[in-house]
Amino acid sequence: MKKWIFVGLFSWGLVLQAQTFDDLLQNYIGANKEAYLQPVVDLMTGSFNSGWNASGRLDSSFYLKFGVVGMAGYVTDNLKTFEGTTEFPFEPVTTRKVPTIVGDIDPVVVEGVNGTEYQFQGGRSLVLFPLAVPQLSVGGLLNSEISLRFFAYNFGGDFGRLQLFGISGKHDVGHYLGMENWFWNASYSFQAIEGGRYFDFTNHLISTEAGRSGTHWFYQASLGYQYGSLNAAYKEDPDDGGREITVKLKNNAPVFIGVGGGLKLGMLRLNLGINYAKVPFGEFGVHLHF
Amino acid sequence: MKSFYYFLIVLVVGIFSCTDSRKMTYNESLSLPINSEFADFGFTVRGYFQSSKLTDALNIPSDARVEKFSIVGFSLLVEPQIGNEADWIRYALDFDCGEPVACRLLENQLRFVGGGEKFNLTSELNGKHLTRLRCQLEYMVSEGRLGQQCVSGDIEYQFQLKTFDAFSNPKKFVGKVTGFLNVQVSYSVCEDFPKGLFSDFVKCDD
Repeated sequence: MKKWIFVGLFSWGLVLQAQTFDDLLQNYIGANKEAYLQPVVDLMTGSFNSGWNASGRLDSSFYLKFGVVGMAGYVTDNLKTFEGTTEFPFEPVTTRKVPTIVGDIDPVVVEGVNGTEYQFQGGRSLVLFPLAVPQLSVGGLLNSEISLRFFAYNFGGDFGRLQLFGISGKHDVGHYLGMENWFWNASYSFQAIEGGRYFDFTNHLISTEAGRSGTHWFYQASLGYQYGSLNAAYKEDPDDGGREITVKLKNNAPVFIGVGGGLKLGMLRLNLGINYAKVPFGEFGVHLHF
Repeated sequence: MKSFYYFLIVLVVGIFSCTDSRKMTYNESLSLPINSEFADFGFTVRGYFQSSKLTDALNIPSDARVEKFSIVGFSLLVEPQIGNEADWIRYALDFDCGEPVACRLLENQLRFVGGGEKFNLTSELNGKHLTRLRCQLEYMVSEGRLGQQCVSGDIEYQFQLKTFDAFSNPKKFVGKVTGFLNVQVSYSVCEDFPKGLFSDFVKCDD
């Protein structure tokens, strides 16, 4: 039975569909698997780190904020190919520019000696990597704000439970300097996603943001350091021994920069922003502020 | 607040209920192992490539359409062990290609094994016959949709090894022969996705 597996409450960016999840991951075994899958970590790290910072100056009185944060990584050419090398026993050893998982859909076929052939799998020709998550924030105490993201759903079957947990702490350091119209915040966020027995993804972001805030608007720029890591595990076919194969990947773009702005219209908070870490990421937020 | 959630739920359901069927392509690789131990003056190993077993081993779903089948390479390691008396081996690999004489993938080559050398036979494969074997296997895994110019049915293969000393006298070979035949298959399956997603993939006709 085929199934849909979505990461994120309203996401269709990470759509994983396969006969079983093991089958899906088995398409990417071999020496080239890390490079083939690397864009997933880069896109997940940057996407999930989007949307935390867009709050402008922190209110000094207690408040609750709840809404949806949407983020999308734009898949640029630098994510679409890698230098793939043929594997033993194919001869001669050949290195070619081949698609990553987000690259061109056509496989690359290399001709070897005496009629042998080696096929590099095609990609999924992804243009955008969109995600959306619910986010709850509590602030106004000690010039700080804490935000939470949580989502869990049991898909059953061979996949099991998908769970996202994220927490972010933000502190207004600008108030120590007596800033009024301008603001300066420092923050740290952590997120963990568990995808059944198949993968876990952890993500850290240390960042600072500064900008100008008015009664009904704000704009800002941010600079951060991010660290995302993905551990995936799957089982080989029983015919091949049924061993558990693991893949460990880290994001390739630690510097995370962005600009954005937003509106405060009564209870409604709207924000838009663009970030960059190897590829551009867009973000938007719709929140109700109490 | 409630209406806000209802709106989101309707939005999500709406997005995912409008779907397109797209032809998605996957690769599968398979390493067919060769593993035999011997203590004899020569031997012949016979076996079959069987359609059902090959399709199962390749994990090709029942509703999939095979797009391409490739032979990536062939590796054979001859490893003499304690007690080996042979200095030379002569080997040949044939398969049934529907001709009166079997198609020879590996010619009768003479190799020195006195020093326990490892060697890869990919470069010795007969390209014309390997293409023919590929075609027969492609016919097999694609259930006759591809490779129709080739012979159908299970494929019998035969590996022969003769062992000698330095004076061409038959000698007992003690050792093992290991290796594998690596193949790849590319297949497509129709899968439903929300409209607009994976739009570069060919739409399924149904």
